Amino acid sequence: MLINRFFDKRGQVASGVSWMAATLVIIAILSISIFAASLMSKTKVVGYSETERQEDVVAVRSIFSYFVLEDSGLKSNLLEAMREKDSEGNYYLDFDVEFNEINEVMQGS
Amino acid sequence: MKVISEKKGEEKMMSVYWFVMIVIIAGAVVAMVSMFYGNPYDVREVEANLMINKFSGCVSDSGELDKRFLNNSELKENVSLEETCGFDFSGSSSNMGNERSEYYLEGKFYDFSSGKSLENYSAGSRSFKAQCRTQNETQEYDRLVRCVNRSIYVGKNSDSAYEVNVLSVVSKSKENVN
Repeated sequence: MLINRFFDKRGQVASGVSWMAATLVIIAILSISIFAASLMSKTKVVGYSETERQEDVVAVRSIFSYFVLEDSGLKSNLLEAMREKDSEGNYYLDFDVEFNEINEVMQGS
Repeated sequence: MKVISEKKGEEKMMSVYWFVMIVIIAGAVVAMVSMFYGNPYDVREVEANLMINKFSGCVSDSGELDKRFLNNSELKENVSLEETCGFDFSGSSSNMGNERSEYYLEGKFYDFSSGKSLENYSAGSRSFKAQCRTQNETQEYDRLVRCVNRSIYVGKNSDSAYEVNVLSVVSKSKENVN
């Protein structure tokens, strides 16, 4: 009878320890999640340049200025300068595609 | 009888334990959601680019310099960007007791062929310009202002053009950074 009671207690202690461990694991997971949420909340930056876009006013207006000019030397210098700016990330679309599209329209008109 | 009462006590203990766990998990979920959605989105780069777009539309009339910037085929000495381009920089914050605008916009005109600096039109709080220079050096300045620098080309006539370097700065750190 006494031996039976002793083994009962040991079982209770073992189950208590496993519940405590489980509780600690749950609290650890929640703490990591809260920390991750606080880190993610600091990265809420809406970028303009990273978004792929169909239209870029700055690029289109600059390309139009190319067609205003008549001096061929100045025109080629301007195109070169615009391509250089494009490589520096000044325009937020595919500059050559946009230039060719506008060029086709201008040649047609 | 004793075994039954012990079982009942254990069940009570377990239900209290589960109740506490549910409260902790629910509290953590609420904390995570409020932490993430409580922080504002930083849209200052978008705002600064929209200002540049508006300025580009104002300064370039189908690729040619808008007439409002010209005086006898030369650049005007003073142009109010608020009046000419319709900007409203009135959204203000208090800085050491002085009200100041949360924006700064500057358009520097250069002769495209010679690279010679010509006119410089600006509006808003000029003090932000200095913060842009050090923006990349420390994160603190990154929180204070967001600067965007872009170039636009405009034709003056058929044989000359301008390069306009546009600097657009938006502060509004209270609204965009926690």
